Amino acid sequence: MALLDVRNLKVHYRTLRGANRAVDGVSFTVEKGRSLGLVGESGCGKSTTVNGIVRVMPKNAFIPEGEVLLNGTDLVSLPESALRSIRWRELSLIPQAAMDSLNPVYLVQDAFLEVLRLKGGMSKAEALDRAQHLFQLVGLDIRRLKNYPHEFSGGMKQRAAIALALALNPKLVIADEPVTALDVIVQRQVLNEIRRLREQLHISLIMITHDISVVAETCDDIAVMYAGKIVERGRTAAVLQNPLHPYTMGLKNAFPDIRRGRRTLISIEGAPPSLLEPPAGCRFAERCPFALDVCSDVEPTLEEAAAGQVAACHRLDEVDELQTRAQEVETWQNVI
Amino acid sequence: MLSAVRGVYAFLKNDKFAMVGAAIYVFFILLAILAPIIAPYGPDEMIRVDGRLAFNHPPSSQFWLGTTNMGRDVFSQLIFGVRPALMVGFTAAFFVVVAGTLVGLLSGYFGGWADSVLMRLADVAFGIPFEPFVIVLVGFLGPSVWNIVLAMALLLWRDTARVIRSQVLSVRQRAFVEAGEVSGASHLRVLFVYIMPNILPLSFLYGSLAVGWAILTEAAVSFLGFGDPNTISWGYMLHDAYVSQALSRGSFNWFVPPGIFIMLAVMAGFYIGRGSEEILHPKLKRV
Repeated sequence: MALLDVRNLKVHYRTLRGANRAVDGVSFTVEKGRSLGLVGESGCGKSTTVNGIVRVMPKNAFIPEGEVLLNGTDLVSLPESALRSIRWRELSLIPQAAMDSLNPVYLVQDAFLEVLRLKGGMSKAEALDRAQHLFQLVGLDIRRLKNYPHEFSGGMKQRAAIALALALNPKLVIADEPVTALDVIVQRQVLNEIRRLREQLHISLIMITHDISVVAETCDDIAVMYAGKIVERGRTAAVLQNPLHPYTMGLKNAFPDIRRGRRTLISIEGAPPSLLEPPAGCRFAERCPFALDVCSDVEPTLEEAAAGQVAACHRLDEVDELQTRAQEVETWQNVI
Repeated sequence: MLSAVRGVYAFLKNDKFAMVGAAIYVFFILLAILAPIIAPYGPDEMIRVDGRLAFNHPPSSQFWLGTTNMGRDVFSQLIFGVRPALMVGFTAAFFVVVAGTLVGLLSGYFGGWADSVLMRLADVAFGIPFEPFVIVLVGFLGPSVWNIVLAMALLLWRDTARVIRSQVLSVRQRAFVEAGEVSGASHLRVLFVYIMPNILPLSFLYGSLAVGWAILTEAAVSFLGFGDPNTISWGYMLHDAYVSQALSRGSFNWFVPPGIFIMLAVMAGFYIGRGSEEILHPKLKRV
């Protein structure tokens, strides 16, 4: 049984103009000890998906449908009090803005002590011990536990946030753009740290990012999201080598590739559709250079096209031809 | 406790204005405690020299600041006047800060109807002119320094509450508050353990300003003649000097000293407030 099994999860936002279907039927699994990268452009529903999984959502968000099975327990139907005992112990979140997640008027150590004592039931001495161990784990000097958050650099705060997420040995860690706010050198250090910790502690990981290279380096599996849906899913190496969905092809074009030397990056024109009234057919059809008539009428379903790799596209049989055409700059121009 | 004292000292050392303000308050507090020892006479003692009332004496070695038209020693009145000034200043500031901070915290944190009710109350408090309100209240409840304190507590929480509320609105959006909430922290814990320490410097700023403001108000009300007749305060001294034509007689020794002391008290409050503002906005700090 998979550690985390998300089935047809929907998370909508109530707005004045009706429900915004930010996440509209997302399914994936995370096996024990494996890592999944959730990629897509801003606003595609990555963060909303994980917010729905841990049920830490803005007041106007609700889950109309779907299941989130963690070790077989459905988190969606669990009462808040039961959910609280699962957070920190079973799953924890590394927030996007680690800068903001530590209270500026308390010592960094106090944040650790609070979690370890109140959530972990440890004595003060045990908690201090554990906090030092966690600091060493993420490569921070244990003397810095007695610092205030503003005395930390951005990278150190992020490391502290990671250490905090690991405080009570969770089985699943969800990292919401953990390195987005950091410069590339610190990004690399933090990513290495995450990878090392995952291997060392056998933790499962979901990593949200809009940076494909981050996923390529850190994650076993990848799920590509577009406009509230997963359009392609599979092993990271396979998906990046052999993208099946035109959106993945386009996304790949938009990132530099160190092996292919200098080349012009190709962008996908246009913007994602409004999710207040999503289009009837494929949500990417409007921006897709390969769209047929059927694409804007009938919604494609996720189908297995290669081993362990699924994509939602009507033209999966022609994938080789589409891949060749997707390399051309002209293909992506004047689509809209 | 010791580290808190050291922290305050370190802060004062870095800010000359705050240092001056604190020094003035320490000076006043010492005066208030030692008043019976320092003052040569009682504040309302009518002094006789050779069997005759010693009225309207100019400053001399016996009466450092001269005497009033009723034969009272101005210097002794000035020294004893520190006591009601500090009592009014600190109690009023205390109530203003506590009430204002609580209202601001509750209003900013809970929002919704609690916010609406509290802020409309603040609007009403803003709409009431302060000094006429004090005079009317003292008129109803009788002249006493405590009624002046009450009047301040009833009205002046509004400024603190507004500012604290806006600060709470911003702090409560921070991730550590949300993290606490989803981890199951109670409202009280979020409010007083997570949010309040972040806004305390602001409360302190308003408190230090309120001390000076309260002393000034007591002086103004007393000068107008609505003060406590049994308490010799600086405002009362000014009132006394005014109604007995000390100004036209040129008895500067009578009405200038209380004026200077009122000024010092208000200034000191402002200087400390100004200094604590630098704690709030570290960017204001001179490098």
